[in-house]
Amino acid sequence: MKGALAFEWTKLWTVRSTPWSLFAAALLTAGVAAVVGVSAQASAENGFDTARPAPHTVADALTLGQLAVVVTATLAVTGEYASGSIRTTLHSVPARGRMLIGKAAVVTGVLGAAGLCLSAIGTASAAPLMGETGSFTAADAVGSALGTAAYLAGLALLATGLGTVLRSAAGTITAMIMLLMAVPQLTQIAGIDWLETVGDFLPSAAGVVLMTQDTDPYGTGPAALVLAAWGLAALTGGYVTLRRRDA
Amino acid sequence: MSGLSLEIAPGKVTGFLGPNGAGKSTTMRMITGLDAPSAGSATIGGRPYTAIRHPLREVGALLDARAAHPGRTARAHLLGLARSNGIAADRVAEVLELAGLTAVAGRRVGSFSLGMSQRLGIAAALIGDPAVLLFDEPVNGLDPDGVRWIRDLVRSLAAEGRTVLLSSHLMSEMQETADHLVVLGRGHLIADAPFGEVIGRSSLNAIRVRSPHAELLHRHLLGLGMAVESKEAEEIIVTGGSPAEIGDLAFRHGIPLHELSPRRATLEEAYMELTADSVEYGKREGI
Repeated sequence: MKGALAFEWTKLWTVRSTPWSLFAAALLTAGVAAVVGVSAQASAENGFDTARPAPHTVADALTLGQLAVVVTATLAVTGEYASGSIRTTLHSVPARGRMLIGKAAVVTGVLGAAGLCLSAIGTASAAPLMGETGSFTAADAVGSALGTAAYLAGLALLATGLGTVLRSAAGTITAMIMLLMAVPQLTQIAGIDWLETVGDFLPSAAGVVLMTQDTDPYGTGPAALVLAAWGLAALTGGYVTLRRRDA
Repeated sequence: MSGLSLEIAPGKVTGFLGPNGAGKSTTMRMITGLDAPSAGSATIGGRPYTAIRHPLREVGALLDARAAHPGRTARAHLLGLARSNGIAADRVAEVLELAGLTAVAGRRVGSFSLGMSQRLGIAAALIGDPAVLLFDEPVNGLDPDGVRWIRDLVRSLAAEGRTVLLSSHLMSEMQETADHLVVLGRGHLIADAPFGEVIGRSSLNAIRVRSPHAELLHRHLLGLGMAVESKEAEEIIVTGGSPAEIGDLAFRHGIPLHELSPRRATLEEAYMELTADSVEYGKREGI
């Protein structure tokens, strides 16, 4: 397993797409968090109650920033199929389960760490612009950072599993955009109760709970379980595909 | 693929031949666990490839030159492989040197020519110093220097006692390199024999005999069951006999000989004959 982890770590950091995607995620998070912060402050000056801890703006910022993160995880898998290097990978680590767990562990770990950084970046970007409106405690900052890390780690598992099933970057990223952005909208606008309940259990809803330390519709513990379930389901699908289809 | 049963021996270069689509690459993919056989098994030292803990240390494979991420440098590609199998990182510089890629080690693989990619694939196959090597069409895209390099490398790897399975479309290349031949046709085994034996079985091995009494000799040879073909008034082509038998026969009958020259079939001729059979008669086992 040590070899498989070292292998995946080396592969992740020796292609340009990884640092560039993470850099893009940082820029998007900083930019959107700043806009959200300015907007909250302006509304507050006009008498609306928009006070919220500055770290919570990261949840809004990541609606866009998460796409760059998803791209990182997706390319770690589909880049192998596109280039044919999956054959080299499976020559080196032929046990399918070990290869997939190694890849998922490295991608999840890196993106979880990226979540901590993005939370700090978003907070640092929004807080000075929000003033009193965005005042927060150390507990807010830590909770939000851990929640962001957990959410992005969950997305990493999801994208790794889905990428292994679909084997194409375009297909995987499209499916992820549908799941993270389109489906949540649809479940809300229809105004059907059971559909809204379904919407509560989508990864993005669980992510918002985690990033804002919310208690509605459920707390952070159940939210982490919901995300883990999505990630494990995708990873299981990936494992079955790896075992059944020739590389 | 059906009914293919092979054992590849160490210390020799086993040439793997067959028309396009005969199943050469598929066989190699099955050996390394990329494709699963619908029945039967492919094992290395008695174990399936997927059960080997550090496979790069036991089996090196070049199945497809384009099997590296184009955005990664050659050195990074090899470093990843080394780490995956617990191989010392020093080995990366060694195989880069061996493959003649030291000068371009820091370049991205996407900028490599086919020949350079082949060299990188060979460096990757050798990184774990494995006892078994599988090379699928290694000389594709290589310049004459590269072709010669591969030939010498493959010969020296076998001389070190390694097991080498080499497929190639280039008959002249195989003639220079292989000790043992495995010929596939339409997923069936057509031949599995030492190089000399495959050539020896060809009907194109013939002996040219020139004699002023060629006609008389012709009749005596037919009597011994050899196949004889008249070329010119004083020349016949004999198959199915040895120069010694023909010479002795001529001596017994007092027939003077002006020439007695054996001509060996080339691998290409022997191969064409074998695979023509496989196409004509479909399934045929052995030779």
